[in-house]
Amino acid sequence: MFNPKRLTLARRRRRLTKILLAGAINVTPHTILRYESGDVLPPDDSIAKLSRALSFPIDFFFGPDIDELSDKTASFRSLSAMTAKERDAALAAGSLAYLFSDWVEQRFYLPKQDLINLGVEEPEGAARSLRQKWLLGEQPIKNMVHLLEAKGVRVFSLSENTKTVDAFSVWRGDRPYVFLNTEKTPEHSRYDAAHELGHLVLHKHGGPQGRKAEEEADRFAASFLMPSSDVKAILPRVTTLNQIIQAKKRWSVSVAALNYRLHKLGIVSDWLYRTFCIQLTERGFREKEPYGIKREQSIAWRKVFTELWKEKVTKKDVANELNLPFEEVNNLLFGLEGQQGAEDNQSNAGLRLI
Amino acid sequence: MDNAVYKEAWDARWRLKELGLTLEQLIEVVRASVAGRGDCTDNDPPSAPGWSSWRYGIRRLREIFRQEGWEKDDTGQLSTIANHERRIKVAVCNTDDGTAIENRIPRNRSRKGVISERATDRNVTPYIFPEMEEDAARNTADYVTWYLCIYNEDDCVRAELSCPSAFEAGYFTRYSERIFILSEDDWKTMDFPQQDDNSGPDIEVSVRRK
Repeated sequence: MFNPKRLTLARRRRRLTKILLAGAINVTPHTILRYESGDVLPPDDSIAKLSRALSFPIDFFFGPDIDELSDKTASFRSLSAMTAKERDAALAAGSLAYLFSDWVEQRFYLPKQDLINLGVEEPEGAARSLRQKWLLGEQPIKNMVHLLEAKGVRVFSLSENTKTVDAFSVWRGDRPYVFLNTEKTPEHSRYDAAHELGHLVLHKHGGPQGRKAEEEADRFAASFLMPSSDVKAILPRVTTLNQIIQAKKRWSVSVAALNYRLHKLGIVSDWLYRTFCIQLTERGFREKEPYGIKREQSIAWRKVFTELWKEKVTKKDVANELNLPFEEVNNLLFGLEGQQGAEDNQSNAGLRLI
Repeated sequence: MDNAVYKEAWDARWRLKELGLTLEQLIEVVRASVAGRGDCTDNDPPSAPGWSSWRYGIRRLREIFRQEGWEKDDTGQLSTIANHERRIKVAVCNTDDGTAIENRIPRNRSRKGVISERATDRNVTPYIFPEMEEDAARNTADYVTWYLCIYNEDDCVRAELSCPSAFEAGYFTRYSERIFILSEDDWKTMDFPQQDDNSGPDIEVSVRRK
């Protein structure tokens, strides 16, 4: 049975309006409206055309309903720059991630979620509380994506070809999800991961919305990634931008983020902060991060595909089973290759499969 | 000729303790002084880096030590902190590359005036009629004045706390005691701490086939 909701999802994923899609398959916009409302079932030839126009397999349109993400439940970081089309496309990618996630959870035990509700705390206090709960002390976080996965958050990548979608997170029942845009720099993406964690623990049950919520998540991220005691111990006094450039390696953040943090902590004066901001721009560090880090990737999905690879199951097979375009699955999984994951696992005894 | 040079950290700490100071506190003052110099740009007048370095050093010196009971003292426009119990004062001075080098001595960058000359004289020959000073309750005429000598050029920073004992033509020419605070290597280690590029504990993510 044709599922009209899946048509809407695929169209949104492709950032097409009803008018544009109608033009692409030579029908009226009203026809598309009726297909999507379920008033009319599209004939087979129209379904084939829809499949081609949207680059989704025909079988995709005959699956059961998919959990939809709405902009009311997802916390988007970038608010003003993002268009509705971009937002809907990102949310549609999230729905496809649900499909994949459910498929994996039927076959694998993944870490249970270990987040706590810290909505009553100030963001800085919440960051400290969560560090305490997770026994992180004041240590730097080696890998934010791995940490989130270890604590039961499902992390997916978004390849949206736009920088206006930063990242978003959502609670799906009791399961937290984070989506990171790989168009951003690795440092930015890492910061996004911490920012989204902030939303998950601070705003699970409502709380502030819009700018206020974003500001809180930012404060959480700064405190979580760069704990004040550690920053003060490493950089009690900052005199030059070079010091910040060297020290930022410890926390794997951007120079700009550390400069901002140092300013907020009162280690860098207003005047020096502004000077460093100007120097950052002059030296081109806003376009190209000095001592850039490698992009953080999922270890959970890598382990899943390493196991599947042993059973001769590839990512393409999974995409086919889910009736999803291979690129959609690939983009959600940080472009991981199953075979590569297997090779990495053999060469890295530290990444044990439990 | 120098009477005493405390160049090893343990030795310096011991002598500083006697003076009611610590190595860490004085290094913090040096850092502030370097920050002051770093605030200057090519658009500032040539004297600005030295002045700014001195100003920030003095400010930080006072911020730190006034909390511990020292008082600020500007007698004769010589800006110092004063410890009335120990009867000593500490000033900040920009010095040349002889700073914290054993077989050389720090020479002040800019010529000093009569107040510094008088302070040096009193380091050697204490004033015998302090009650004659204007403010007898707080007169500091017989105090020993130490100088935190800071050398800061390009990326090289060195510092010592020294007690001048001779003064000629506007420059300190001898010191009765020199306590090394910061060597070039010390500064480089502090300025650019060697960080592990991949810090933090490993994170284990458990994934198991059903």
